[in-house]
Amino acid sequence: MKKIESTRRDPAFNLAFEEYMVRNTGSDEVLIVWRDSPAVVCGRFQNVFRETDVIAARERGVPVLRRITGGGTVYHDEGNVNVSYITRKGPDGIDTLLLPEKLAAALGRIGIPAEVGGGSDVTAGGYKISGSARAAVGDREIHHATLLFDTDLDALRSLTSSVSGDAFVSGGIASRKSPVANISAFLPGTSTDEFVGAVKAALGGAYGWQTEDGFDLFAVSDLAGKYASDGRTYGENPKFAFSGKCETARGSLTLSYESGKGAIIAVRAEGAFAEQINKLAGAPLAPGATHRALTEAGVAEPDAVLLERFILTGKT
Amino acid sequence: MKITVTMPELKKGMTSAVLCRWNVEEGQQVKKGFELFETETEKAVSAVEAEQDLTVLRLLADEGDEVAVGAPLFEAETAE
Repeated sequence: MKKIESTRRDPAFNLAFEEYMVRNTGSDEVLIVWRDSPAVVCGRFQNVFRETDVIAARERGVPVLRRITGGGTVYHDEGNVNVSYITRKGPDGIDTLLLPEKLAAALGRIGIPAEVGGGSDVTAGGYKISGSARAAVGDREIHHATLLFDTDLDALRSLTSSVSGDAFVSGGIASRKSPVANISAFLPGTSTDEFVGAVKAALGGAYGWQTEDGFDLFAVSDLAGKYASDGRTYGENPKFAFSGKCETARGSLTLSYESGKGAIIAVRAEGAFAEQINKLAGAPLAPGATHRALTEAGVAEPDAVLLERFILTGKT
Repeated sequence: MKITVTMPELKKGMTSAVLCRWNVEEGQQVKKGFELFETETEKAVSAVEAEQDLTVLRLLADEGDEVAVGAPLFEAETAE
């Protein structure tokens, strides 16, 4: 088994490294442990606008990315430890519990009362401490899990709560919310670095680990460009419909639109700014890009800021 | 020969999956091995490849639909 700890904290690089390894490695098994700087990471087929406040994320300087595996939206920071496990596809399809069971056993060996529960989560003391998701790629499969060790739970809750479930009426795989806790509560006085060392030893042994530097970093960096792009996060958003109402300086606006491939396909606005907003068919849906489209349609500041927030989050 | 492609059992015991993305459109010719569509079930994403060269005639399910194992997904024309 190849055992790798990525020394990088760039979420786009690490998501790309995961994909690169599942597509290119010849090893029967690969284990990757990594951490990211703060980022919101949504599942492969989620409606990112329903899962996170993309405007709030931009204001906090937190990138929003779309990973290769399914499942729900998670928050990464340096207190969250990611584990990826790559193996050959089994004859009975992807084993949902493969990685959660490995993680629960490993955590048990380092003194945490962990058990598999709530689907493919790992829990301790009744709280979710790890979530996981998977993807089949060719003849291989990748299993990815988070381990909440010392994550900023306030940031996690504020950035991964549903934005406005009423406004986004369809589209994509919805996240399932669970009460979460940090593993550090079970290991007082332990640093995240010490925890990572313990997890590595419990999952793959203390020796034989390498870093990402032994691989084709040019190829990974190319792929990272894709993960960091609006085309990936927003352009690959599933089809959805939006319906909502807001108050503006010029009165009420009632808006409905349909979206596909990261753009507005059809739009119908009534009330304030209706003339300008009804020109948005074909406009991209992404922070910044939607603002530019509003400006080009003739909406001035500060109304463009308010309307972009409403279009992308369902609230003002 | 005209065939109807159905949702495969991608995992033992699976009863349905969400059809997340079509990678083909009606009228498109694809070779064996082409990734026709992508699904998600139990947080697992899978792409389903063409088992033979075919021409897609009619899509019978929409992106976002939950499709039962064995239910029709699309009609196609094959060489034999």
